[in-house]
Amino acid sequence: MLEQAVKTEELLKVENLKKYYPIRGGVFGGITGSVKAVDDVSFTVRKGETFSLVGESGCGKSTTGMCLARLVDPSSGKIYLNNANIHEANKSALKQYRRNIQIIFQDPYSSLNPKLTIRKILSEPLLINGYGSKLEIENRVLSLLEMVGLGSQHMDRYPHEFSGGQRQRIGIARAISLNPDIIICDEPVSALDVSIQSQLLNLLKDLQEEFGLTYIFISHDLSVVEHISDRVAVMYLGKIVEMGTTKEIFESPKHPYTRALLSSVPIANPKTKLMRKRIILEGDVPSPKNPPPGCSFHTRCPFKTEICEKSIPSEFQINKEHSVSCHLVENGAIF
Amino acid sequence: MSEPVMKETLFTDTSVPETLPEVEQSRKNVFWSVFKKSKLGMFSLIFLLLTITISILAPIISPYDPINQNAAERMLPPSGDHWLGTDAFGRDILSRIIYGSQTSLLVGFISVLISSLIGTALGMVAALKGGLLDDILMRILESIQAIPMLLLGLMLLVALGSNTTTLIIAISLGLTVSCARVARGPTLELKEKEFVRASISYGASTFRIIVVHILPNILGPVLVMATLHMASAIRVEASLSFLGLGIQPPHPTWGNMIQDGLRFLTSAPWVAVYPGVALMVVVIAFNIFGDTLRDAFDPHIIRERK
Repeated sequence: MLEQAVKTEELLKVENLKKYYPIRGGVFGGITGSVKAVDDVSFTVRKGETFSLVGESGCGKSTTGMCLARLVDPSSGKIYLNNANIHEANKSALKQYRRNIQIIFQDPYSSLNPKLTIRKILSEPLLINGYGSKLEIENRVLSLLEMVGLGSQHMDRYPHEFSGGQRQRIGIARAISLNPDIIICDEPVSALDVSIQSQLLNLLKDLQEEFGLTYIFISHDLSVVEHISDRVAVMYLGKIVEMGTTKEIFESPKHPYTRALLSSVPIANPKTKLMRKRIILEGDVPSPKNPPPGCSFHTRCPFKTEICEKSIPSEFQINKEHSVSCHLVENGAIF
Repeated sequence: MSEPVMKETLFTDTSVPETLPEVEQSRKNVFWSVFKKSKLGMFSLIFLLLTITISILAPIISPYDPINQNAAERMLPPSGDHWLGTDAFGRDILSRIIYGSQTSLLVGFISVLISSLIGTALGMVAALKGGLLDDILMRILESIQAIPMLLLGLMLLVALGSNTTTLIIAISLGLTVSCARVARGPTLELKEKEFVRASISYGASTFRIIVVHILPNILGPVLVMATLHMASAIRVEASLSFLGLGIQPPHPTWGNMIQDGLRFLTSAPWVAVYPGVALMVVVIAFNIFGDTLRDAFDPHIIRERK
């Protein structure tokens, strides 16, 4: 993957996306504050690539995904798909947009309606979007099942008759059924066994090659991300702190947080493991209700200086593909 | 990626499900096995089916006419001719109880049907739409619930006049509230489930989400509640008829039969006692049936109790 030519055609563009959840309190239930789940996130996704969002729990990566699928209405910001403005779309345009962005969910157990057969689960999106006659839908469902490695014998079974991995395959089949432009994979393999994980990741890759799919891959598992992504954005407290190609991020991480995150990945080889310097962060992620002033990472940063506490770092382009939000990298204090 | 590798990864776990149909079998049978195990539950089910059959076949089964008066046979104690005796107008008590079951079951069934349909729909919509609609709807329903059902029935029957339609409206109104609450809870939980989110993401309408994704998944609790509501509907109907506001004499209902017999409770107890027993047994049967149904829908509760 890494050696492939960099894809350039812009498919999705996100500008200054924000999602604040109001906190209600006090006697009259007035708004007393807000949780900044996603705080000013901008990025672009190119056609045919896998773009990963990584970060700890609660850093806003899933909320970003939900905003893109419009399952959650963003507080502000702009989203363009194929240059069409989505944040102001009317109802019919939104329906059109929705079928172009599909999601593969994390939990294969709650992502399929337990009362419906696989046939019904897979034909529903086709039916709603007027795919065609009954026979055409039936054939499409069958070919979808075959695409994800299941067969006609599974059509009339219920979700509880399948294993976690198989359920996730059905979830993938449902996501690709409408030929969407983008598939948001929200931690699609983290609920599964490691052996099943690799099967599913390979399935995702195969489908991408076959149909030219674009993935937004949300995960906290860095080894999975390294395996599947073309480009990676690292999120911390609702902000993207570093973004670049997978190769750049994994081989020469710049932001102190990215470095710490990468040094936490377990290494199988004990010799290499001994040679590595582990960066262990102190303290917890600050509450997104009350993020620290200045650089949001300064409370845990081993290299922090005075400026970090005062001003919010802006995006600094290291090269065309690699950007980082850190005063110290910008000033050349750390390399 | 080479072709053989792709084939391998795509088709590796297709063989697994061949061992699974056993699970399917057991899951479908859990409901019945739990139900069959409960002797009381099975007994109440058979009893209720019998009661319903008798009430439907009332004109064929009942030995006498329930309304025609017969002065020669007044206040007869139970005997071979009149199994449960006769009342002050010489009418056969057994026949009147059999015809009375028609009224009780019909009023109960219709009001439960109406309240379940409306209540469940309201509960689901309130939970799905959320926000102000949810707040307003639930506050209105709660303020109805604040008035005891019997009092609500009394007020409505006095205001709108005593007839069967008003009676059914009054009982349905009282029951709708708890239906809405029973439907709202699980809907709130379901709407956060990923399969509901998925259906939103490919453009399903609210109506479709309710019918396809929510309703089948809350049918269990709604059905249990409807059965338990049958018991309270029959009880309330009897109470209102007893107070003279429900079904009017000479049409027999268990409530107005008890009222008729009250005056002779010491001299001719059979006039009041037998309809009372009928009422009690049917209400208890519905309650036991509802409890068993709940256990069968959710077998975990039983295991915890043991």
